Amino acid sequence: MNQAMFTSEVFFWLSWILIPLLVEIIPSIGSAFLLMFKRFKQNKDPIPTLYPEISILIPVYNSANTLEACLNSIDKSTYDNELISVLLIDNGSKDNSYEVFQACQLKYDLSIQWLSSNQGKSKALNKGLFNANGKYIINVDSDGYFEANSITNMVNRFESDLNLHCLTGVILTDYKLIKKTKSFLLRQVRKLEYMEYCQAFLVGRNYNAANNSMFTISGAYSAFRKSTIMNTFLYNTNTICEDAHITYQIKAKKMNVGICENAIFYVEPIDDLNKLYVQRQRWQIGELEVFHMFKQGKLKVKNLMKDKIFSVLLFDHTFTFPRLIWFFALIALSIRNYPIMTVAYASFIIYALYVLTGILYYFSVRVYLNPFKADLKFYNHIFLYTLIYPLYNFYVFILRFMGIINSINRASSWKTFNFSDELEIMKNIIKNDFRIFKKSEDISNVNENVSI
Amino acid sequence: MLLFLIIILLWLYLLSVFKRGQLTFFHFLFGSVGTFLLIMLFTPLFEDSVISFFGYLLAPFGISTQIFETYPNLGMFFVNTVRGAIAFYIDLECSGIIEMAVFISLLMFFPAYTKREKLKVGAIGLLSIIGFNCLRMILVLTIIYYGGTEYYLIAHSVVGRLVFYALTIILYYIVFTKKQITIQKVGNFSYESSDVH
Repeated sequence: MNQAMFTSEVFFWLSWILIPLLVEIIPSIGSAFLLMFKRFKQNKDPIPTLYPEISILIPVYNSANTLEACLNSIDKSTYDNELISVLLIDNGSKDNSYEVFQACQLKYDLSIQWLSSNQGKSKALNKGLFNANGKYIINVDSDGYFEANSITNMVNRFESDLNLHCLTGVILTDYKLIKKTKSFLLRQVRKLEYMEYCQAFLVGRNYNAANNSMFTISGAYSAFRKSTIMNTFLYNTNTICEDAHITYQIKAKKMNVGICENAIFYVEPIDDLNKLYVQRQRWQIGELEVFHMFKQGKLKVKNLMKDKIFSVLLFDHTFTFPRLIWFFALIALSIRNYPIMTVAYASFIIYALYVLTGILYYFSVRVYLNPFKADLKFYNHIFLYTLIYPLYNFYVFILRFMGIINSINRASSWKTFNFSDELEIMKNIIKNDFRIFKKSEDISNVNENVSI
Repeated sequence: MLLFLIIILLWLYLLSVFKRGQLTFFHFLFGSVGTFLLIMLFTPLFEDSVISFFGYLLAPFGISTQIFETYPNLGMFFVNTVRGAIAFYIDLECSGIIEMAVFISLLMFFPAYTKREKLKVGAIGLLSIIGFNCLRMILVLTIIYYGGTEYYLIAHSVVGRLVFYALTIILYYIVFTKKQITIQKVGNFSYESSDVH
């Protein structure tokens, strides 16, 4: 290789690798090490002398199939049943959730109440909040279940730090269900999804909590001091992202939002790719809605970096535009004057760097999963998925980007279609177009016949 | 040529299908990526003119500071370092054509603006990118003028690129992010066939 060629390749690689390296990869490596360090420095939460009474709010909507497992996990938890009051808030179920509740009330030695509410999760949660008496209020979805020490760990964390006002738990998909998945493809997606949840909570939100920049607690498992949440405007009933909305309200009052990384709540893995397609768009749209609702005075460029939460917009929205085109720019460059092998090497290096980051994240997650042996065993088993995880991540990135674009100019009756629906719409239009051709052909045949 | 025409027609037809089906994302994706690839395909037709244009644009600065001389028709700069004059050529990457093509392609299909607004925002955006690119070139040439050719790599591929990228991100933030958050609608969300609750 001559000097000029070598210099030209160095230029090419530096130009195309520098930005992802600086914007994504180096901060990721930094955060992975920081979290590992945080874990080694962290002391076990002290055990309080007296455990307080707590309320667990569970919005119920056609939850007959999952409700019992959820209540069973509360009954089996290490927290004293006598200190737990469970409020099931029904928001329009049409199945036999009520009968399940009645059966559980007889079966378990737990205080369980049934409340009826208007339609919508936020309205149900607000009704629950007004009826809750515990010192701490825990909100969970009805389609998941607690790890045995989860509730105790959550209360220990609150009791050990009086400055904590709100905590998110850790959501993991149920590895037992993942193992039982029959379809090969779906099983692979579910394993990648498991890895994603581990990273999202034990790395992403964990890092945000350490950095005081958490955008949202989890709607599926969160906990508050009652005094804190009653001091807000409660759950917003307009947005689909009520969890992010309440997080912002609490942060706006300069109160601390954290993560209890040893409080796990298991949810069902994704049903199919169509669900993933709609779910990720919904999350993205919810995020944008919350930014819109709190935008007053925050969107100016000079103010942007002052608000840690609004600076999330740069990563979740602004960067996504050039990132989308980058991929195609590499193709365009290979069409033009750059040798295809150089472009391929550059792409490979970027991919390898993403894998490296993924492996670092993998080990930071492992440090936090250590007390949970069964999860840890499953996590060890999926180590090699770190090699293909960047591809899954890219797919999720595209889905979230879809959410961004699809939410613009939507009509009031706007709906999110899954991919099968969209394919059907396309097919119908194309079919219709060709039918018109066929029809006009038929008409011209008729005309010919007439003239004959 | 025939194959090219067939691909273009197929692309336009698909865009019309996405538009009629209100499949906003696919319309945006296929529209912007297609436009970008088209512009890139036709750059040889105007690449030299754009490069000369930058030469003319930067000439007054070079003359007044005596840091560099421009030869617009050759797409070349001469930097007068203490060790003598060094020639630099402006290539496709330095010309900012790729960045302008990316911006225009994304904006053309970004559904938050009306056609009229797109014209206005597009013109301001293009002028800004031209300005950012001038700044990048001046920065690179000035570093080389004071530091010598050994600073070429760091000036061109690190400092120049980072400054240009930071300014472009501010432009993208204002044009895409700020606009969308300002007009974002809230509520009335439902699913057609999914039962995600």
